[in-house]
Amino acid sequence: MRITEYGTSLFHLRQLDTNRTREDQISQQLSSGRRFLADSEDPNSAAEAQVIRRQAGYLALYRENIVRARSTMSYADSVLDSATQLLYKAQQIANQAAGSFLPSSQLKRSAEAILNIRKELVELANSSLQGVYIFAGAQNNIKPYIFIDPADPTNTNPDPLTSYVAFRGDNNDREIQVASSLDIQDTMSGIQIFATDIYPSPVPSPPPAPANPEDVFETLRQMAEAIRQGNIQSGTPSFTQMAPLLESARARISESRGALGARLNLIQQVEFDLQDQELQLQTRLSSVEDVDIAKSVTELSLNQAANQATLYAQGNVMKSTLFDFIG
Amino acid sequence: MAGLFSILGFTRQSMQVQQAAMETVKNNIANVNTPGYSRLRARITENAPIREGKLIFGQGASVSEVQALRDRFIEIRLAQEQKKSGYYSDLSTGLKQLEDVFNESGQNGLQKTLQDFFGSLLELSSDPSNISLRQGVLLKAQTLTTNLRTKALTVQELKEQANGRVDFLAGKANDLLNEIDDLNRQLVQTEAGSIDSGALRDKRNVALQELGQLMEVSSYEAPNGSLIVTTGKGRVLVSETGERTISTSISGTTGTSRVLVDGTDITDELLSSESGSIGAQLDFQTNILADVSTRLDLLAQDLRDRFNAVHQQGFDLLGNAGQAFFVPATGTISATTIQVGITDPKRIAAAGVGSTPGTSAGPGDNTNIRALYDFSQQLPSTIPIPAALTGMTYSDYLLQLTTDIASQTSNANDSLETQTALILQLQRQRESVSGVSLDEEATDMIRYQKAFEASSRFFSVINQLTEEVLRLAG
Repeated sequence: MRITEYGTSLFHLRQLDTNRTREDQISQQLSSGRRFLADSEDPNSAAEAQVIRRQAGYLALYRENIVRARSTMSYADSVLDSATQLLYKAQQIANQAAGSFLPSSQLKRSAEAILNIRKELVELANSSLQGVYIFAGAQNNIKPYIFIDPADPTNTNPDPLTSYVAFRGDNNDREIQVASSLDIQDTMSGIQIFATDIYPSPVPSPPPAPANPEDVFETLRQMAEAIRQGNIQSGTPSFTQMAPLLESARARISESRGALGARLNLIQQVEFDLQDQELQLQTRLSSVEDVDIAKSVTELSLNQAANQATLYAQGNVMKSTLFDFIG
Repeated sequence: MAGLFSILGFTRQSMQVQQAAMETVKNNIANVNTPGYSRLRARITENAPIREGKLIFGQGASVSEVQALRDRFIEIRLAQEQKKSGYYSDLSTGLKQLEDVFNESGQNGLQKTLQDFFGSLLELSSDPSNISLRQGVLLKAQTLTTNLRTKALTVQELKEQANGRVDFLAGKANDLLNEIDDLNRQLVQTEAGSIDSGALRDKRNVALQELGQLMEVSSYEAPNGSLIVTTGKGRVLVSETGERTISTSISGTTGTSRVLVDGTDITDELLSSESGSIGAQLDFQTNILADVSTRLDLLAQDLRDRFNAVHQQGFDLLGNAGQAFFVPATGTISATTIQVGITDPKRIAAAGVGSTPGTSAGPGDNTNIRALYDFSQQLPSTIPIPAALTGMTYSDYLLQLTTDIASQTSNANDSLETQTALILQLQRQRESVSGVSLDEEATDMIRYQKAFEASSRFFSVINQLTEEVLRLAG
């Protein structure tokens, strides 16, 4: 094959161009830390990276949902704890009143104390977090528990000590997604906790007494009434009738707390799992996207050596011709 | 036997032969860096001898021809490969621009904005009455539609750029056709006396190769030396009588370029990898860009149709039935026209149907927002799913789109790389036949110089002999 100056220069230029391109590519890889900057450099890996990033994105969202659910559930748990304490206190007052031969004035004070506890319990049942009533079911933008004057349902300022407590929420439990195939209930309706039925709307006149015999507010009201009247063993209502109902109300709230606690534990576990999954995804993403620095640096050195050799060879090959030696 | 004066004549001729050969060396050295130049060689042949009795006397040498050394087979291969190179070069450039638009590794990837939108629905499902979360859904939806619109408009811009480039390349092709036609005329005149006009042929070859980079052409030489150039399908572009004109127009229906030769549409003939830069631009806009636009439009339409359908089954924070989330709610919609139809965050229909039909399940209910979020996981089938979307989520659909673009770009880059290497090999092969080697020219120069010196020395000797004869006679 004949060798010409132009043919040689074409070859060397191509070699230099290839070396420079590769050098530039490695340099960009090293400065960015990524194995490929454009998807076309490795379409399969780029697609895999997209899928991993998408999965990681969902995991981050699930974790945000967990944080939000935990906040709501922890708040509900602390409210129910207070409610349990209140009912325990009510039980103590009632037991003390029933077990001692107290004068009627003292019984009245005990009854008032129980009705005050009832009022506090209504406040707790109306607890809200960031404007959302946590025991109202799906109707969470309105206060779920209100007092209704049995004599006049239109009375906007009824006496809390004599009124019925009506529930205006619903039994709609909300489920939120906390993992790819796991939904968890993050709300709890007052129906389950306080055994309150949904009150008819609009309220009829005269308003009916709460229908559920285990309604905690009605139990407290009737217990107060029994104590006030001194009905311990007999009469309607009587302490003997109401004491088991009060106990079961406290037990129900404790059970609700237990259910909440179990769910809190579950989401804690799910969060750990999500963290593990995120770590695995990050590792996978790193293996797909990240540059192998040691390998790239070595390759860069080799490439630079090849480039210098090409330059040296080109400089020497093209430096002299026969014309240089003709006198 | 020749006389002294006759010998002087032969010697003069010998010196002229070496001088002519030296001329080719001069021209070769001058064109050592001229692209497409074919080196010249003086073909020195012995003159026919004469017979005198039983003796045969040689009659010296003469330059019978100045040849331009070229290998027609290599030239044809080079032209063929250069049209592929032109095709892949333009296609690769276009695809790189398209890939930049759909770069998913950045913060503005369509996948990311889509996922952010669906993520905002998931967030809202955890607290459906939260206004700031609702605002977040609207914001992410607007980012999604803006991103979709921007990408679709950029694809349209790329299409328009391709139109401009086709027009420019067609103009360049016309210049080259004109140049080949001019060179044909000059060459026919020059070679009328069977003289190989190397310089004109080289120029014509270079023009033909440049034309080959622009579009698929075939060529053959007519008996009079004219180069007949046709399209790949045999449509004449340059004949012995002149050249045809290539023109372009924009299709009223697709907005893409059409290429015409003397008014006849040849666009479809140019849609192949053999069709140089013009073919690449046509292929890019007719097949690749049009496909991307169609896929984006389908996404916009399906989002509008099926997302809206689910949204309208739910109830907003005020208890009203859900309205169209994406607009225009009816009629034609595309990726460039899709918008979010809701401005009040309370109007997002997050709640499902309550116990009483036609009423909301309540502001805290998340049934419908969950159903909307399910779009990101699996596509519901209450409305017929387009074939292109069957069995995949929107994210899968977009992943397929971006992966297709990346793969096409990668393939075009690889093909361009291969073509560049192949062309380098062919160029080196051509150089080994037609290129100028300075070492070789230096050797030839010394050879011809020495022959010239010997001839002139011989001339001097014969001259002295002639003078001696004249002196003796005098």
